[in-house]
Amino acid sequence: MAAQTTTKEQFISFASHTTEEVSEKQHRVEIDDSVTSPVVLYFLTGIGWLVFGSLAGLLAALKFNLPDWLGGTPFLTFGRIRPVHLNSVMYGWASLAGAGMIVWLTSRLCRAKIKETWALYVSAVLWNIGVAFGLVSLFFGYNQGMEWLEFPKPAGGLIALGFLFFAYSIVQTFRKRQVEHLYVSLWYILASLIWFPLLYVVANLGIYHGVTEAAMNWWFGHNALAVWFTPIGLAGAYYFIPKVIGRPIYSYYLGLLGFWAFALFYNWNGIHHLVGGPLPTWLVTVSIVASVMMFVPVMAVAVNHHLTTIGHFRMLKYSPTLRFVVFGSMSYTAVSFQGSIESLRSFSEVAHFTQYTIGHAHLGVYGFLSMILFGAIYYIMPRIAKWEWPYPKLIKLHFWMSAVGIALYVVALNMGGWIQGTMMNDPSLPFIASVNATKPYLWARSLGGTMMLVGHLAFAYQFLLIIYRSGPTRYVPAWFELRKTTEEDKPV
Amino acid sequence: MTQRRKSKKSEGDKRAPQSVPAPVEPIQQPAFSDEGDSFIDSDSSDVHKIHFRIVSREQGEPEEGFEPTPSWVWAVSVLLLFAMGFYLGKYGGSFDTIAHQVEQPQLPGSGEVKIEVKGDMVYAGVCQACHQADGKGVEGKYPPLGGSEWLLQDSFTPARIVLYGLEGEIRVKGKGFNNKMPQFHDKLSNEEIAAAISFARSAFGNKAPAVTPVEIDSMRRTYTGRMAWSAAELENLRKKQK
Repeated sequence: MAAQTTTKEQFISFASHTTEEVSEKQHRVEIDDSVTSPVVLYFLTGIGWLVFGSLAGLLAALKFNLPDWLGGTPFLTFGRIRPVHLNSVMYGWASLAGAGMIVWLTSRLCRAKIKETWALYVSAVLWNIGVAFGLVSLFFGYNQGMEWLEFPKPAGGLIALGFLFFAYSIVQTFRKRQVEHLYVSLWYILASLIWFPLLYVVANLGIYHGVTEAAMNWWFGHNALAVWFTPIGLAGAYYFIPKVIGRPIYSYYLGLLGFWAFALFYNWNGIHHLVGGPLPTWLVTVSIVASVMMFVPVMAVAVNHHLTTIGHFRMLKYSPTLRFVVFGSMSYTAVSFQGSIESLRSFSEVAHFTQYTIGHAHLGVYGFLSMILFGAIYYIMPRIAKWEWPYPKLIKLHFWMSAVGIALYVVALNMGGWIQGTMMNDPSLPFIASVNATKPYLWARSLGGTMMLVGHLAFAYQFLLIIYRSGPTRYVPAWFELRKTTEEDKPV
Repeated sequence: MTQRRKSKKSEGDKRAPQSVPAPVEPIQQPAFSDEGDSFIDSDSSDVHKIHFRIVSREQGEPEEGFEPTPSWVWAVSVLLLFAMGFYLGKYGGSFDTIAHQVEQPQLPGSGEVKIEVKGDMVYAGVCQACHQADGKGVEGKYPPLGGSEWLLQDSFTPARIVLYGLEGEIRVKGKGFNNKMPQFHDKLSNEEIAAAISFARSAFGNKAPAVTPVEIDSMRRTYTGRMAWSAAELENLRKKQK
């Protein structure tokens, strides 16, 4: 046997090290035990919203190909199903799964059991009620009419309240930390706990009218990514890449540059969505400048992660977590550079009001954030469920469906969107020509979306198996491929 | 339930040969349990073993290395900062509203732009509501314009009426009317009034010469400040002119 299979006995021999090591491991077990229930609750409900939101998204996508389909049922019309998709995946899936990941990460990185667990339960319940209430309102046509802020005020209030309970527990855990030095992931987590409530409350004040309202809308829309979703993704990437590979993140200094440049520049970005709008020129220009300056933090993060991974790329062959997280991390670099270019006036006038922007948004929220969350859940669940993933092949299916699906989605919409934009700007062509030109690309997008949904179903099924400890009893990690294990070369 | 799980297990073993076919009983209880503060109960010793193995095989918590930032990262950052500073200066609109004050564009052709007032447009916008699109008016309410002696006999009478209005009984084409025509001296320009009257004098079967804005202006100045005419006053003025 060239690739020697790992036996139960070998694993037990790994486990029998010095007492110090054993006590450290015992400590990890205790930490994992303390977070199990809230994290499972966050993940479970998050994945529920993911499946629901993907269905809504696919329905909305198909309506581009079949405009009359289901048009007779008011709650299934595009104007309702599209915000349902957005809010379900953002405030349902990404936020809840992200919160679950943050709970586990914080506890592990602070080397402390989670504190105020009750607040996490309250948070998860309030949050889920908020999302459910908001989505029902959207189905009935109650919509605040602003992108990313469609939920009616009570739903938004419930979510904000849920966030505060969540933040309370994280901050309490942080205060009882057993470490001196704070790891990079914690910087992003704690910063987002301060930034996000501020953003959400200011955006919901309801004192904006006309042009100010448009400016506020995009200030919020882009900053939801800047101060909540992106910090989650980066905290995950900064943790799981060195964790799985087993070497320190390349450079603390690059981490500092990345974090502070991120904090300085990202929050100015939103107004680049209003290029050509009736806003003061300087406001738009400042936003473009900040968007281009995002090259700096993105470059710092990309270099840091690349130089950490370099020489260990073969691990991508085995570790599902690493493969998802590295895919997400590379998407982050790609989507951020793309976003910087998109903010420029000359680019924006072609691409902005086309399918191009939709492709860009999905590369960010799916290619980057969701892939990292998938990787994180594949890593965290065996530790808190105390059960291995039963079917590595389903993980493989999930990865390829998601990866190929999102690649198809983004490439199709970026190409189709650019063609659409150039045709819309050509006064010699009728408007309908620009619509017809996008048809094949929109079909490709629907195909990509279907693949992603298939991946999510495989993921959700296996998630149910692991929390019920069902399926085959496995004693080895759920790698993609068989791997020879030795003492030096510990499995991950 | 147990049966199903067992069969699943052997199936899984076949598909994933790296897993050890250990003689372990599958757990009997559902994972969700009321006992303890955990969703997942940890009673089974097998679960403990699996968990300890999972935790054992993982690497330590990540740390930062202290490699220096590559110098090209600094170089690119500084270059970007300069470039975007330049961009801000060039396209920032001086942080002032001056960027939004647009100069009147010069139209091609000789200096002053002549705007032509179209009589039919003024008629359609102002007069048509009462005198109708065909100029026949409404019987007993609004007098007709087609063939109307008041409109056609001379050019001053219609100018007087449109500028300062008309009130009281009047006979037009042998039919009596008693209504009120509003004043337009404060609503329409000389050009507009001239265009509308000229239009009415050449439409609806009428063939009278056009009136000029200069004529309207002289009428406007002559009667500045007066109220609506009566038919008798107009008739007297017309006779005097003769």
